Amino acid sequence: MTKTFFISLIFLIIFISFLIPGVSAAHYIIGFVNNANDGTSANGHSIVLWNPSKGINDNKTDIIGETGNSGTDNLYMIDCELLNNSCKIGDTLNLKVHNNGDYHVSNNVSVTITGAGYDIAPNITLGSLFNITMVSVDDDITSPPNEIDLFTATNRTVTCSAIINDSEGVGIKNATARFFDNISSSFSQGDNGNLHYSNNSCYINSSYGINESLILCNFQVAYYANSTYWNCTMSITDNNNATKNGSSHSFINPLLSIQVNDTLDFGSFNGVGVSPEVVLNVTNYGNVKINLSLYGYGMYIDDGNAMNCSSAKNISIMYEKYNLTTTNPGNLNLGSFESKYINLTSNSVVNNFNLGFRTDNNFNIAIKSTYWRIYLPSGISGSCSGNIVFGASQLAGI
Amino acid sequence: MPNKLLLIFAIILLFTLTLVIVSSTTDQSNMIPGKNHVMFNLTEPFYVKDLIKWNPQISVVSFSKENKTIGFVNLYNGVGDDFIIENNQEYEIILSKNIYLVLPPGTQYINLEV
Repeated sequence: MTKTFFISLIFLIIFISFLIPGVSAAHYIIGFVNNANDGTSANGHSIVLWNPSKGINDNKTDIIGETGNSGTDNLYMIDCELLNNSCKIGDTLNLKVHNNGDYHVSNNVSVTITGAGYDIAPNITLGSLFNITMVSVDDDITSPPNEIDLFTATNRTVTCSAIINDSEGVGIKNATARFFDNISSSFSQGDNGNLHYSNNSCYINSSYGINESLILCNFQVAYYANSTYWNCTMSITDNNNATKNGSSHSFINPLLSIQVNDTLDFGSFNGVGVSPEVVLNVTNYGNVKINLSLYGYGMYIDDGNAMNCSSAKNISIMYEKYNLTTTNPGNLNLGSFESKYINLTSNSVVNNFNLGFRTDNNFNIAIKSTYWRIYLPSGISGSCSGNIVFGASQLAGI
Repeated sequence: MPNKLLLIFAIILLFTLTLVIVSSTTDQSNMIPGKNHVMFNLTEPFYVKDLIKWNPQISVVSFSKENKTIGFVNLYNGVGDDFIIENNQEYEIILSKNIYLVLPPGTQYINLEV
């Protein structure tokens, strides 16, 4: 009997619950969000509310400001009873501005649900993004600033540096940089010794200062990098995944540098006559197109000789000749020697040579040959030696 | 025996229904601090901000619509959507103290919940 009565009662209660009209219920959490210290307005940003004991997946959001539930600048208004696990008196809920694409976020604040009609959460300040300051790019010789002098036939370390002011203390997660010819290349181009360098793992010194980090991005810049204005653009990402870029410019100075591999050995020959042609290769180890300056001497500069000989007589400078464009192999008579070759002089003469600089990342093919002969006048005997001075020049040649 | 049970059930049901109907339709009743659920019988619709202006003891007025809650909070000169109070809509009014609602002439309300 008693059992039947209770079953009937439960049935009755269920039945009554259907009769009672649907009841709306709300408990609003209201709060004020200050604009970010960098001036970014809080309005339009998204704020999320959740019960930490239930997990952040059960959450409700609102837009701060006029477009949100509050309809009021810098205010938000969220009904916590709309959480899947509806809020109850005594619950502690968390709130924070979350990233809606511009990476301005905030720290969490907590509010405890009371029996009042609504609860006011502590004020929140919209977080500021970090600032990139003092971006510079230079070699280790910082005076004059923003000029880079490359090294002959090798690499030079160029450093792009910046100081990050991270007032929110979010922390820097990653820093990358691109160093590129500002005229002929761009940030997104692939790496190329003439035009573009990448560093995907820059050094981050997080203890540089209070809320400051020092970023150092090194590049091993080849001797043949274009002589022009270069751009270093750093891309910094903080621990909230906010990314900002900063850039600086520097000028890579012209590097005039050549290498002449061989000594000029005309060999041994007897009697008066024109020597066989000897070839000397000149390699450009700089970053500009060059002409060739040439002069010679026997023992002392400007002594008027091409060679100083062990006999009483030396070989005059006018008897040593060159051709910078065309080879003329075989035996030559004096007339052809005179017409096909140019006199070496005691004073430096700039000759058209038009030797470009290296443009291949794998091989240096900026090499050109020069062709030399000497006339052995009468009265020369024994051994002779002299000097030819090769120079790289950007001056117009003859 | 089954007839006796059925009779008891019917009596309890009748009693409960009477209780529910009487308690949920108390017209123009005193409204208590906390949550009250009301429906209005309006001659002219009015804004919720005006309702709060006439009754400053109201903390919050809200209603449900399409699984959302639309509310207006009596704070900072009013926070939320200044919606229009209409007929045939249930509203939750949260009060800070006992009041009889002050309404425009001719307007009545039904307090739905005990």
